[in-house]
Amino acid sequence: MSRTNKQKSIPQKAFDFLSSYGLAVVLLALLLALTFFGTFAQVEHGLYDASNMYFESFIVVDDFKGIPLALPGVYLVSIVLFVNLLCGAIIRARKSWRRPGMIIAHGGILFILFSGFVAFHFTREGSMLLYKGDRADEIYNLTDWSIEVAKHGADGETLKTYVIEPDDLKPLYKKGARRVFHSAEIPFELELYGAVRNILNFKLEATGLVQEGAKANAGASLSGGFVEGFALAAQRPNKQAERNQPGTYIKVRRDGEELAHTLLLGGNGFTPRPLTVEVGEETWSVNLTRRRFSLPFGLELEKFEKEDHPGTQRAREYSSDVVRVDDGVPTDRYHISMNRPMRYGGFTVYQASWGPQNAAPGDPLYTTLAVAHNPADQWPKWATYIVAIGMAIHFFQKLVAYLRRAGRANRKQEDTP
Amino acid sequence: MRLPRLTLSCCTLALLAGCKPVDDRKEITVEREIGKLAPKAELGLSLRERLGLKPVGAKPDGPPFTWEMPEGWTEAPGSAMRVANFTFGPEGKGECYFTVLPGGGGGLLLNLNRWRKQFGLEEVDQAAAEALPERRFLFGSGKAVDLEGAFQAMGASEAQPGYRLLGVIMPEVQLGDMQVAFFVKMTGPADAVAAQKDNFEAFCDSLRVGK
Repeated sequence: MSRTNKQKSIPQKAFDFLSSYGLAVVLLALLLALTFFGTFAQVEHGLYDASNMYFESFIVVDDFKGIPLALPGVYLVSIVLFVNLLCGAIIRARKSWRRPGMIIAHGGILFILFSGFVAFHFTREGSMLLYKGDRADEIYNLTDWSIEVAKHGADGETLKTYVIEPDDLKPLYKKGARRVFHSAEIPFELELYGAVRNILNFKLEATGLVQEGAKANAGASLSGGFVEGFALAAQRPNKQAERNQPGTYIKVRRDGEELAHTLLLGGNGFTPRPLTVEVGEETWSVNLTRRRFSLPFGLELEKFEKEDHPGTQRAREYSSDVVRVDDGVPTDRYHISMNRPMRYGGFTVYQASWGPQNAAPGDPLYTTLAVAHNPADQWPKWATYIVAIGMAIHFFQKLVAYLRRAGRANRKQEDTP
Repeated sequence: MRLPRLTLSCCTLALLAGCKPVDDRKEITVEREIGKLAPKAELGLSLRERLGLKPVGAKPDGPPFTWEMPEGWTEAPGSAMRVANFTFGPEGKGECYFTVLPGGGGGLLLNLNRWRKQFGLEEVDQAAAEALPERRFLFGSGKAVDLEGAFQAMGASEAQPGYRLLGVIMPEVQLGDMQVAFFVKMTGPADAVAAQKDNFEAFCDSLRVGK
């Protein structure tokens, strides 16, 4: 005898809610709507921002063609959908040897959602830029910026590097935001303010770096005052997020004494030019840089080949021949082309791009390799197999049941006089 | 009535989850392993050096060139390729720069057609390129280019109508041991460029190799 809703305890009501078909329908409808709005938002905001706003957030607040939107983000919807499937299709579902297929198939869908969660939180990805003969064992995330505070030895070598993560910098891009960063390991604290996400205009000129007294920038809306003859002014973020170059004002303090008050500008990682801070005998540096990760191996570019469409400078095909370098010793060779990545040690290295894009014929070219480490790299494939197996079992059982019923009906007809 | 209630619950949950206060003090807790092949940082640089800027008025390194900056132009930071870089006109929309490219720069035709493409114009053939008027330039002569149309700069998402380009191309020049190409390119709103045409000619005439 089933209990009425009023007789149920609160946990039971919560379980009923979380395992309900109604919730599943709402969540799937929300996913559909978010995919629709998120796809259109890419036109307005660019791929990176639209993805952040719609697909990686708990909540979406946006304006869709003049209509204000406030919806749960895909991240939140996916979590609730996972719980809904777990409660409804696995825990609550009637378990019987007669219908194992559906439970297996739903288990596969849960695995897909879990793979997405693991990939979102634990994937490390970035790019590596190599000219012929260059070696590197670090990758740079093209869209995320961080501040690295490093301690250096007597010869300038880096001894330790502490990182202010991109998620801690992003709130500082809001007007008036200010934050002090500190650590027991670092002999000073950093105050960041007036940070801007982008100082480049659409021609990629640094129009957001305003020089005191320059007529060209007169009237620019500064995010802070002039420091050493320069100030920052936020420029409209580029839709291609990798083209943005951030900047921030920084004060370095130790025991109340100001050691530096200057600007940090996002720089490339290939020739780091950080702010240097001398504290007693110690030399430290502070660098606004693309988020960097080191790899457990290095790569050396032996050859980069680019083949153009006839009569044009548009690349038809390009590939890189690289050598893996372990502890400074060249080891295996790999050929990386657009659809043939290199896989090693859980890392996948793709042929992403090349440059300089405005290179004249005969100029040296560099290769850009995209490197990703995703623990869930192959999980969606396995999850799809699980779903396929579940569906195959389910349909096979249905087919057998149908054939049996059909056989019985035929025999009945034959027995009828 | 269940579906609206469910939707409302989801949205409320989302709003609550979205509220994340910003602390004004934050501890740095992440330490990063340094790559063995990581480039060495350049330490002890001034702000200008960190920004990659030279003091205003200083000429960049490399093959030495001299020029006279016309009145009304503003010197802008140079770059690896822009030896001299200026802005002019209302809101600094016009720009003029002198570029030196190694290796011949791709030749006359390729660069002419690259510029024509930026103005939405059809490509021309070698004969048309050779037929461009000559002008005295540096220690020889270059081809003078004059284009008008909707200008789409490199990296720009939209073309800007009513623009004009004045330029000089001097490709495949032997300079000491190197083969180089010289370019002067002025772009901007057509009326602003027309007003600066004499200054453009004067700037081109003033360019010299050697101090």
